[in-house]
Amino acid sequence: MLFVSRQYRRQGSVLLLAIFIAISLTILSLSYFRMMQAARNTDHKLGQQFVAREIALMLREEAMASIQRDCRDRSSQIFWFMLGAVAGAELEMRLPLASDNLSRLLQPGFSCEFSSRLKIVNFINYDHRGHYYASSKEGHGILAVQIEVSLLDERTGSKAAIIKESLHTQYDYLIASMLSLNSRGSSLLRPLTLRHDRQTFDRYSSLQIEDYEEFPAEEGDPAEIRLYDRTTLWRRRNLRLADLEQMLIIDRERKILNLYGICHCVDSIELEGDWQIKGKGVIIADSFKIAGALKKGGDDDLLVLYARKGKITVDTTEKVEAALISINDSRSGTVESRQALNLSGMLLADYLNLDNWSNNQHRLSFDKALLDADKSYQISVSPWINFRSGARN
Amino acid sequence: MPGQTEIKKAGGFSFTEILLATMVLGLLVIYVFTLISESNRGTASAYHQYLAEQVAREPLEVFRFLGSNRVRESLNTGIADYKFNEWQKIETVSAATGIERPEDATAFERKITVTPLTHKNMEAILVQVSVRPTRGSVGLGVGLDQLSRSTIIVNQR
Repeated sequence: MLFVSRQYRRQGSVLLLAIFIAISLTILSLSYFRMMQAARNTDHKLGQQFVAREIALMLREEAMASIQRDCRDRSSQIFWFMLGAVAGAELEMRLPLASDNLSRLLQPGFSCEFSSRLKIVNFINYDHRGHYYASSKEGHGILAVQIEVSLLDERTGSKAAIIKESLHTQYDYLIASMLSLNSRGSSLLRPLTLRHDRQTFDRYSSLQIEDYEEFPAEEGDPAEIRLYDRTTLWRRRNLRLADLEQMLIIDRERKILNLYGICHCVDSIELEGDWQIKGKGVIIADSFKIAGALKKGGDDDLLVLYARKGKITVDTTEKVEAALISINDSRSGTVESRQALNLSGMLLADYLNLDNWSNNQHRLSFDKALLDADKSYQISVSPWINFRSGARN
Repeated sequence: MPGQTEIKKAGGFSFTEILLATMVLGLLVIYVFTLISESNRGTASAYHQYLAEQVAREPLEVFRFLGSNRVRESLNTGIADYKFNEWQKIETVSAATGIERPEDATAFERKITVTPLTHKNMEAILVQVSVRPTRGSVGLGVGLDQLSRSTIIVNQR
């Protein structure tokens, strides 16, 4: 009996061992299967993460393109949102290109939800020395574009978010008036102002100024006039003429001046032939020579040419629709015309020596667009920059 | 005698026990080897997947850097050694751009398709890149189907 019972016990232990090993193998197999499944899911998830990232980048590009386009358009929602916005203000952006084409980036069985918000991070209306700008709308700040993307898996019938991607980008921006505002509004209120010359112009002068007496007198001493001296509101500084041409601000091929904000150039600028003015802007350079028409594309377009070192020479009988400013610290800023001048805009110089002008009747009429301070604001958002090739596109 | 038999049985294993133990050990060895083999295959597959991803993403990154205008201008000619609408073998070093790729990337070929998109005043391009193992490649890329990645690049004015 003892032998038999021991035999049974030994058989039982082998069975137990076999069951133990079988269970261990099953557990190991299951864990291995789960591990492989997890690895496959990780691969798949990484692929979907890439898709979500590309969608977010595309949304940001469309948002940026919309901002760059709309901040020049006074009829757009973005323009009015940014003009006078306070820190913390937010605006939901609509991105129609993305809405229409997102499905092209998605794999079958997946859908996508996104949101795109514009946020004013901060806005300050004083310069680096702490001097406040004339208008509270002028200033500079930081703008944020916040993109949220959710990828949804619809293969199981229910929508489940599998990937969430956030992209937060900040840009610098500035708002500046093209009329060098002061406490009265536009600084360019009169058709003709001379800072250091007290000559008068009447109907016997060779320079005829339309309705000259009807305009308000200068406030204070004309010698104290300073224009566009808030350099922190300049959009671009120290550019060469070649830079202006490369950026198509001066598009010599199509003869268009694409104006946008205050640009400073350290060269002399010569404009030959007939040019079209598009947009609102100020070009500050050493000196100018105009040898052809400067014609505005629309009533709201505005061009101010400001010579800081030399003079402005006009050598055409064609209509020049621009404000001409030639003033400097050595009081030598002047404008000369070598043919019968036909200027629609305004003229500001340190002095005028009409003896140096051609022996013609010259005409100067005031452009009322120079009065409208409200329409003179330009919003510039920092361009898309990479540090290998300069400005993108 | 019954006492002697008991001593012998307690001191060793029966044939059945040894057979069972060998079988179990054999199963374990097979399992471990399978595990190692599968693990190696999984690692290789992940590496191929990674390579294919890199090969697909490269033109997307380059085109995004160049901007949609530049790519649109070259729709018929291609940019550098990126040809459009045809399967291209991958070189280890691009002669035109200087971009270097791993040796194993040559086991893949790539096709780039660019489609211009326009929405009101906005212009963009849809770039689709497909990557597949080259025909006849041994080892690398085996088991990997065609991989596609796309993006839309919006023109920044």
